[in-house]
Amino acid sequence: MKAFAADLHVHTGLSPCAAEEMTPPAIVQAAVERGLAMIAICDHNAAGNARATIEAARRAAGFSPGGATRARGASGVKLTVIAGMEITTAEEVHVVGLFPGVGAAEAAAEEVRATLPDGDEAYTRRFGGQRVMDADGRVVAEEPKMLAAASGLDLSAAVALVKKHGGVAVAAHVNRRSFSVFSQLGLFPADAGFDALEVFTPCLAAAQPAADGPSGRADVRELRKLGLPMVASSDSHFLADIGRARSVFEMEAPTFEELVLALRGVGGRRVTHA
Amino acid sequence: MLSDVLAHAPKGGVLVTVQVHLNVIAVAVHAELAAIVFASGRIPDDAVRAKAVEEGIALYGSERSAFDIVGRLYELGVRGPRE
Repeated sequence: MKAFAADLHVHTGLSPCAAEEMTPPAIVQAAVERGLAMIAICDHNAAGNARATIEAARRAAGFSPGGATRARGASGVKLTVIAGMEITTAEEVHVVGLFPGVGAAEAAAEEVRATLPDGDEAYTRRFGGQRVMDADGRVVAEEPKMLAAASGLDLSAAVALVKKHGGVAVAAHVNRRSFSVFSQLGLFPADAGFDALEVFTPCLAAAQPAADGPSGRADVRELRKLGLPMVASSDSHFLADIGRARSVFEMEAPTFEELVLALRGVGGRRVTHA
Repeated sequence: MLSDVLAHAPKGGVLVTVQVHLNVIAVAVHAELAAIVFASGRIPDDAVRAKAVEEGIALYGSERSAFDIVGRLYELGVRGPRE
């Protein structure tokens, strides 16, 4: 069993609230520099930059687009990029879906997209650009839908959508005051079907319980009672935040399939927060 | 946000909301609310309605917005706990 540091919630410039600097190659470079073996690209209600980021990681590791190994790559360090999406449900709960492949993520995103309102100039001015990029970080298109809006899917429909496409559903930043299961729904629905909880904190082991009661922030001790695996992720909107929160996955290889087994604790695999 | 209802709603109060998730009932029971008004034509599904019957929470629905409903309740003399 090997240990792989992972930050499974990173936005790109496709998310209107993320910085322009969040381009596929810049994200890959920052992740590699900070010792991450895996990241997941999770834009709001979209997966349009996952493919480019996967390609950027492949190039950084020294592979040509066709898959043939070059003699010497740019960095030679391999980074696994998982294709994900952060769905905003009708209740304004954020659900992170992590998918087995980029095709699955894109198909799920297409279904979410169909429920989103159209954006306009005023929306772009207030919320920011939504840049679809290539592996070099060049803007190839602007997403016209309102990615910052709530989708038409309620919580159970969003979780079901993720599973339909073979993904795992993670309750995003459960200890934050906004857009979390707790803030929007007050209590954690036991039958929601989540595979894991995402905790927004640099180090779960050191996390202090919230002192201010039922304010929308659940404390870590309470979260443990839900019996779901916990992952720490950065929810990065800026390059400086990538890897600031991370989990360590002890598993055979840095793949989606192994990650699922680690979340379930199969065969000695596990998630730790060193 | 239902977390705010949990933390601050007065016992016997009325919740006016566009939220139709089952947890609205759970939170109303926990906060000991008397009734829920679903605004803007939002209609909860059968499971939510059955839970409300089981828990003895009265449900109302209106095409009006939450703003208009609360304004009308205020006009009728309904006041918050600190007034």
